[in-house]
This record gives sequence, structure tokens and C-alpha cells, in this order.
Amino acid sequence: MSLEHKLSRRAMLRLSGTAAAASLLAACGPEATPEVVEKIVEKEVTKLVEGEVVTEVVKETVVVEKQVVQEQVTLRYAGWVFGNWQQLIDDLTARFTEQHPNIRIESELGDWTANQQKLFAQVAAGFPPDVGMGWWHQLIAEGRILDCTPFVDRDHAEFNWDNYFPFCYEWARYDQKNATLDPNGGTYIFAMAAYGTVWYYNKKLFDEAGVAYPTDDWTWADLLEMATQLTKDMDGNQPGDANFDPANVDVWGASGLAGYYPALQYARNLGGDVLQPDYSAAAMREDPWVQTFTYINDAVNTYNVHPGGAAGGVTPEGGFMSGKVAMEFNFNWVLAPYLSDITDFEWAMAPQPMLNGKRESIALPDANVIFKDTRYPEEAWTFMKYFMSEEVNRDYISKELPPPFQTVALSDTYLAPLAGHYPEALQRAWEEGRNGMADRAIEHWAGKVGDAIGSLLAGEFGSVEEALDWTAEEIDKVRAQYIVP
Amino acid sequence: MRSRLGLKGSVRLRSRPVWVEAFYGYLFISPVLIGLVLFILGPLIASAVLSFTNTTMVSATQFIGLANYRSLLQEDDLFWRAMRVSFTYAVVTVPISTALQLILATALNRGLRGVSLFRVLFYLPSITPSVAIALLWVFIYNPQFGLANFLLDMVGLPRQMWLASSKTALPSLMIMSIWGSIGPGMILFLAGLQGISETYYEAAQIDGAGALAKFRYITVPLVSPVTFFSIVLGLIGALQTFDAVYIATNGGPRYATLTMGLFIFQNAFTLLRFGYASAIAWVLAVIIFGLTLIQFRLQSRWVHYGG
Repeated sequence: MSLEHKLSRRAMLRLSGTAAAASLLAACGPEATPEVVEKIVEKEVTKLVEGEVVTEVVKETVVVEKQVVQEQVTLRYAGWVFGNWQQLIDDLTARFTEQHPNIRIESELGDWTANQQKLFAQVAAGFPPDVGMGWWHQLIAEGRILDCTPFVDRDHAEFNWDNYFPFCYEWARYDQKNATLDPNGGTYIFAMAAYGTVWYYNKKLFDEAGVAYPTDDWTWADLLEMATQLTKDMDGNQPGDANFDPANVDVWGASGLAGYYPALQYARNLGGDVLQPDYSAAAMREDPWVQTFTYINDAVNTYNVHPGGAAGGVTPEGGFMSGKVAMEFNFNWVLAPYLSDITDFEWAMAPQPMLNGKRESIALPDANVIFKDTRYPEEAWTFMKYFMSEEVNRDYISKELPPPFQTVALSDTYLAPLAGHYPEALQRAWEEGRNGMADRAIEHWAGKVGDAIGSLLAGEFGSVEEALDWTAEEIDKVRAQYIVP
Repeated sequence: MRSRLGLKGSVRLRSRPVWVEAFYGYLFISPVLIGLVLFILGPLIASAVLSFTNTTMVSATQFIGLANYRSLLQEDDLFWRAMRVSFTYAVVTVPISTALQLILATALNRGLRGVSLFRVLFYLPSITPSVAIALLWVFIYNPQFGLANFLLDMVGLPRQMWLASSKTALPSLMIMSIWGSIGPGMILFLAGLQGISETYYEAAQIDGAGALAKFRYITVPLVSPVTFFSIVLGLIGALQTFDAVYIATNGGPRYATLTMGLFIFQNAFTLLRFGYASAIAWVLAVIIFGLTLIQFRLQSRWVHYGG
């Protein structure tokens, strides 16, 4: 009898449907995975004591293999990516699933702004991912992020904070009630990339101008003096020359000063900060900030050694990579393109300049959290631990220098490609860096500082004090809304 | 046998019960009705309710009565700043856009060679995604290597910071907006112009009217329904401006381009103040409704139908 006679079309459809349903159930169902467990057993031991045979009961730990059923879990991971990060995270999640076959990772990656807004929308809709990368302080304060302290305490043997740069540890602890960083607070935020600041300088321009390279103990005054010697307009005139044209500059002595981070570094050198220590008000009207804004404004509009001033001088296309900027303040996130794309001049890094005998350096991590609403906190923590493991850091190191966050980054493997570029400056930035963005709503006020500096340099404020008044008012608005609920 | 309609034989019209007709009617419009309820009426009602709460959508929500409205009208400087920016933007862009649309449409309506090509060229910006247009203008306005400063250099004028300066950012955005809105309005005006009978122009010519007089006394009044339509929609669109501002300046520098649309978005999706953002949205909606109502009331003074 042929098959056609045995199986009608209806029967065939029924059979196919049953098979499909069975496959689906099997795929969704728990997967049996062998697991090695330890067990304490009692057993009788016979031994010879002083010539007599004695039998006694002893407890012994034995290893037994037990067949357990592990639930198949899918975790959603949302994050922002740039450059080669997409591939890095794809590889990382694939390797994680190889090691943990019962945990599958679904990645939802995008650029910074899109990721952050999508996360907020997902949280608002009650559909957050399990693990996510972004900007977290506001959501911690709202109670939407899981405090991982119990996990950290439980797994302290395989999770050692000593392996991390200090600012990454500092960043992790948060006082949820007061919405501020607190070393005694809960453990919420886990670094996955660490950024420090250095000054990149163009050796060729220094050599041509006959200016000595920055040293470890150089100062902010040195920076201004060097920049003055390095700046020249299209006709070769330098600042201070009668015919110098600040609107048509060929080589800028310095760049990157007109922003929140360098300003905060300078102000911190003088003992200043954005807020009063008790968070009661903005501290922007105080002397450290007056000096900071004055220094930046002088560099731009008085000495004319930095673009962005009222005269209309602009940064050349490509910035430092154009070869027309002698010194640039920046983070180590530009290292990869600098290493691969700068071929027509030698460059190196210098640590942050000193002021009043001390050096301040800003550092900040990108970080992951586990959302409180996750159905799988244990699996999410397993994934988080993997993300923070030395294995992953070493993977970072092997892939075009994304910024790792563990001290393993100081290994020869990582620093080798930086030979000749003075990697000690970066090492110092990682080790000495203090958090530049740590408090709730800082993302809202950092922009205000940058806005104020931009307008001050463009000549839109009457004075430094006016610019600082405006900034303080703006920051106080944010503070009133977020820091003091 | 005769039916009620007097039809013979088997040809009969059977009247269905009214409810069956209604059922099919509703069935056929149900996709639109469902969409209307789910995506327009639902959010409208939800936002109205949310505007009386302090919801962040991620933490506990409390009913706070009119506190959001009181706060934004009495205490929030940024609300008034955003209102001022939006109205300045609308008051400048809408009349200029409308005038340019009419002038261009009139020029293209004269049967010149290559008119179709010009129509396509002028219409192109309106079929290009607004994000792409905004990015293009960000490039044009780039102080370092943008086309705008390149042109200023060519004619010997000082370079500008364009979107980077609080003094020039809003005018720069207005230029963007006017450029992008010319196409669709021009097509409407073209349609309106083609509906004007040539006899009016011939009669005016016989009476000795010049081109300007014909434009002033024939064209402008007879396309006034299109002008009215263009102004009403233009004003609504201008007061709701969001995407170009979001891409190009995100409200900066120093709130110089903070429009109401962006202010609502920032409160909702950056600051998570969904209740407050809903209140702002309703205030804006009431303002737009009021302005539209005023325009409809005033149209009898200057809009001529049936020309």
C-alpha cells in the first residue's frame, strides 16, 4: 500500500500540526542539564585503635552528579554602542550563552540618545530589559534598579572590587534615598568601560615650534604658555603679533577646553565643585569657578590660542587628527581612531596639568544595571558577573583598545600598542581619576555648564560673573527638582 | 406580482433591516474607528487625566489637582520662554512661507518652459524625511566647514556661528523651516491659481490694469481660501515644531530654540515628568484651538469663496 493511501491530506495536516506543537513545547520547555553537586553523607568507618578494631560513624562530603532541570531563560540586554562595540557585545553574548546554555541574550542596541530614551519609555511602559547600559541615577532614585549588594556579598570570592579602578567602585555605590553616590549605599551600577582624561599633543608641531613637550609636572600656566608659542595664523603670525588674525588660524595651540569636564577639573584643582558638599545649592558663583571660567575665556578670547571665541576662529575639520591642533583635552575613547588613523605625525599623551601643586583628573565609566522588574535576577546577575569578568576585559584588550575597566588594563598586552605615546599618562588618569558625573540629574546640569561656557566665549555674556550667575540659577533649578525631592 | 417599488416579476429589492445596514457600515469603518479610539482618543483622554497627576510613569502616582497647571503658568520660566520661542517662530515663518508659496506658485503658473521641473524641485524638500533635512542643514550651518559660512566668505561677510550661538540659532531654524515648507503650500496655491478664470484677468487688462494690480486685486482675493487654509495649518504646525529643533539644536544654546513641542518632549522623556508634560500639551492644545477659532471667525473679513 502506498503512503498516499495510508495518510489522507487531513491526517497529514493533523500530524504536521501535532509535530509542530510538540517541537514548540519542547523548545520552550525546561532543558535537562547535568549539574555536579556536593552532598554530606554519614558512613561507618572501621579502624584499628590501640590494637582493637573500632567502628565509628563519620560525616563526609561526597560529590554526586545529579540530573536537574534548568529553566531556559531569555534575558533582554539593552545598551548603546559606537564603533566596534556592536561586534564586541555580539561576541560577548554569544560566548556567554556557550558557557551558560540555559541563558539566551537578546540584545537591543542603539546610539546613546535613542537607547536612553527607549529605556525610559520601556520602564514607563512596564517593559524594561533585564540588564541595561545607560545613565542610571534617576532610575535608581525612582527605585527601578535592583540593589545587587546581596549578590556581591554572596559571590565575593569570584567578584573582587580590588580588580577595578577606584572610580568604578565609587560609581557603583549609591544612596537610593538621597539620590547621591555613597560608599555605604547599595550596589547598583557595574562599570563596563572606563574613561580617563589626558592631553594629546602633536610632537611634530612642538618640534617645528621648538617647544618642549609637556612633562608629568607641567601646570595649567605652562599649558597656556606653550599654546601661545604653538598658535599661528594663516600668515604665520602668532598671538601677540600686531597682525595676528584670530579668525583665520592655521594651528591652534590648544583645543577641548570649552566644556564641562575640563572646567570641572580646573575648578576641583582649586577646591571647587558644582554643588555645595551638602547639596544645598550650586557652588558656581564661588571663586574656583570664577577662576576657571576666567582661565578658559582668557585662553580663547585674550590669548587667542583656542578656537570658539568671539573672533570666529573655529576648530579645523577633524580636530586633533587634522594635524592643526597642537594639544587637545580628551578622553581615552578617542585612542582607537588616533592609533589607527593618525599616520602623518607623531603624537603622545600627557597627564592633566597641575595647579597649586596638585592634579585633578576626571574619570567616568559606562555601566550596566539589573532592572528590578526582571523575572530572572539570578540569571541576570550571572550575566552581569560575566560582563565584569577578567575574561571580558581581556577580550576588550584584544580588540582595538576599547576602554577596559579593570586593573588588568595596565598589563603589557594593553599598553603595548601605546608604546611611544606615553601610556603612563593614561595609567595615571585611570588610577587617579575622580568621578565627573556621579549624582542624580548631573546629565541635566553638565549641559548647562557647557552652554554657559560656549556663550561666554562667543561674547554673549557681559562678564564671567554673569555667565556663572546664569549657570548657578540653572543648576539650582535642576537641584531643586531632583536632589531635593 | 408587484413589489412596493412597482417592479415586476422576480426582480425585487429586499430592504434589509436598519440594524444590518448599520452593522455593515460600522464593520467597514471599524479599522478607522479602532485606530481613532486606540491611538487618538485614548491618548487624549489619558494625557488629560495624567495632567492632574505627578506621574513619572516609573514611580507611585498621586492626584495633584491643578498643581501642574499652576506651576507651569505661575512658576516655570522655561514654559514662558518656550511659548515666546514658539510664537516668534510661528509669527515669522508662517507669513513668510505663505507669501513665498504664493509668489512661487504665481511664477510657476505662467506657463514658462520647464515649469514641471521647477514644481518637482520645489516640492522635493517636502517628501524628504524631516530628519534628513535637519541633518543637511546642520551640515550647512556648521561654523567650520558649512556651506553657509563658505558663502559668507565668498562675499566677504563675517562668519556666523549659526546654530551654535543663542543670537542666531532661532533665525537659522526659521530659514530651515521656510525652505522646507514652500513646496506643499506652493502646490496648493498652484491648484488655487488654476481655478481662477482667465476672464477676470482679460477684463482687468482691458481696463488697463498692470501685472501688479492684477495680482493685488484678482489673484490675492481669489486664492484667499487657499491662503487661509495654508495659514491655519502653518500656524498649527509651527506651534508644534519638534523634529527639526530636536535634531539641530535640542533647544539650545541656552534655550534659544526651546519650542513648546521640544519642551513637552524633554519634560516627558528626559525628565520623566509625564504629568507635567501632559499639562503643557493641553495648554498648547487649548492655545492652538483658540487661535484657530479666531482665524475662522475673522476669515469672513478677507476670505472670498466662490470666485
